Amino acid sequence: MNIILIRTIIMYLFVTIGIRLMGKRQIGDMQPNELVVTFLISEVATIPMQDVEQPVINGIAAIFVLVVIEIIISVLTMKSIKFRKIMNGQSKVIIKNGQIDEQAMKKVRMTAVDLIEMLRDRDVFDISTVAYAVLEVDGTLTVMLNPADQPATLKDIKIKAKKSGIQLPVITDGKFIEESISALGITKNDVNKRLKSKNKSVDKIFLMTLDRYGNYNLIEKGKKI
Amino acid sequence: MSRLIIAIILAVALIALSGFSYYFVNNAYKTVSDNIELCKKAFLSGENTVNACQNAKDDWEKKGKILDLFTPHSITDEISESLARLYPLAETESDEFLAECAKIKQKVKIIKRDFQINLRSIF
Repeated sequence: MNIILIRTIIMYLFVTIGIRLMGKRQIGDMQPNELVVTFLISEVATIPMQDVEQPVINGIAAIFVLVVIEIIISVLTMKSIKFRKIMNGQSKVIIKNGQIDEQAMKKVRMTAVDLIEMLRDRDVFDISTVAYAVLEVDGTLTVMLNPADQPATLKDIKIKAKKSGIQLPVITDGKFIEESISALGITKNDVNKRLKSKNKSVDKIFLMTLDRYGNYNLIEKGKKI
Repeated sequence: MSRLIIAIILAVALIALSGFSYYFVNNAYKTVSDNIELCKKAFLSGENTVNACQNAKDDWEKKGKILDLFTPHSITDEISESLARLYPLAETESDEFLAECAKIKQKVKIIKRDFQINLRSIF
């Protein structure tokens, strides 16, 4: 039992290191080779965890071999278009100029129902509004609507947009987030001044987000948004 | 780029580990085989069999600890058991001693064979 506990901790650490070395990706965004390596790593890791007869080093070596292969393949796919095509395949245009390409759909084994479902997933409920639809290598569908069906932007309706940037959390749970404050090029005093103008104190704030143009959002502890 | 460097370092470390394990298993095979041959000779001549067995056991204890890192523990445990069984048999004139020696040699040979790169080991 003790040995299984220790082995599990060791394998957990090595699997985590391996996955971190491979880089951050969500399962759905993975390329085929990344998905295969992730599944294999999880499978390989369980063998020395469950079977105490097996040396842990065999599992660790297998994990790192997979990680090395994955990194080398990802570098090669970055450098060579041909290699990328072989390893990851190519995106396929399913709808072109409003015309469904049935041959392309057959090639990717996609049915009309699949296409409708994927369009709905993209908030497109009327297929006639689609100008282009591309099936990406990770299996997601990228959709471009006809110009007439695209939502109007502020530019289209000639309204001047208010300047805004990415809001960063500057206070969470009553504590300053130093990294965000320095990333915005301000000081804690600047944040405090804003709070004072609203008669609030830091310790009462659940979340405060701020952008570089001074736009902010405040949520007090125990209060509704 | 840093990931690629880490991958290269890992690859080198894995190759080094693989090379070391291959060398170590071959070395352990040779040591155990030689020791078992000495035990057999001593047994057949009736001289210093216990000492030869002790040497074989001592050498195995050193090698076995590291071998456990690369090979399934069950096989190294079986070799340890067989070596321990040689003592009581050394003082008899039973053929079981020779049979036990052959068993040990065979088991070490299996470990060595599993480390050889050939179609059988791979598939």
